[in-house]
Amino acid sequence: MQRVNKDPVAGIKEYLDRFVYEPKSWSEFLDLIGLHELLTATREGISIYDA
Amino acid sequence: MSSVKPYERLRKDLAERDRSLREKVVALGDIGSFVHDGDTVGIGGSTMSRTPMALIWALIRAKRRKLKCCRSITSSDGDLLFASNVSDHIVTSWFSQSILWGVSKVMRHYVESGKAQFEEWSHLAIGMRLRAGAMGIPFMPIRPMLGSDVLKERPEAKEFDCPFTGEKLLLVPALNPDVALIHVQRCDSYGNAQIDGLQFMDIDLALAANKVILSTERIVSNDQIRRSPDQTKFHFSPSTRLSRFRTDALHMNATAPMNR
Repeated sequence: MQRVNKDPVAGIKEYLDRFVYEPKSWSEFLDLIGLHELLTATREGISIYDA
Repeated sequence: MSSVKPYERLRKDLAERDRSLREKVVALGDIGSFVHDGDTVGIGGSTMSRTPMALIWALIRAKRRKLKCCRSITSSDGDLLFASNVSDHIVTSWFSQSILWGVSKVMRHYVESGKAQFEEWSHLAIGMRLRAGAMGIPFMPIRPMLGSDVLKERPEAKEFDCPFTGEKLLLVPALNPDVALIHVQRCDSYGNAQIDGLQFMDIDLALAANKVILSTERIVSNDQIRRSPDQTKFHFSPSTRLSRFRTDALHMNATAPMNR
């Protein structure tokens, strides 16, 4: 978000490359954005926003 | 030329649909076969709530072009659709990455440079346009936007004197997307779907659209859907009232474990 706000055009292009075009699957995308961390937190009954 | 579809056209579209009871689960990557270049695509949810991000993600990877997208409130999904050249025209009431960050800088770049169009309506006007589309009528009379500068930019809306009270009203044109993209918490393999929390404009969107594509966190049995029929907001086939419906379900495998 900070990168997009600093340079909207370059920032959003970087996001597209890293998070939309590069992952081989939706699962890989979810791993990239921290699904494992979210699942672990859910199992342990904690919020990832607590930190 | 008006973008409103005449009633006979809506009836023809309805008659041509496959409304059979059949399994409709397809892979996320198959979205390209359901959405075509130039389609009008309605996006469900609102801002960052229940945004069908997997469908948008897949749509971008499918390299669709010239989509006219409409949504109640648009968030970073709009930034991605503009920046990927998937859409050059978004119909919405608010365009921001969220509330905190203000108006989207990405949207401003694409609109101010003439590369894309942000067609702004009031929030309720978007909802009433979809409601008219869902009802199969060409317009809806409303009060919002009257006296607002937003109206000066919307020649498609027509001021009108009510024949019953003489009051000034605004007629907003029906919105009937070719495709609706909606995310739900659960559905069965036929496309009977349930959502938790706010519905936003999604039920009208589904009724107004010619085709509905769902993404879901869980595919559940038809028996489970039947246990709480009051929560079933989207139905596989038309009933008398929900007469303009077709649902296709896309399963996101990776999110399923979260709900086990």
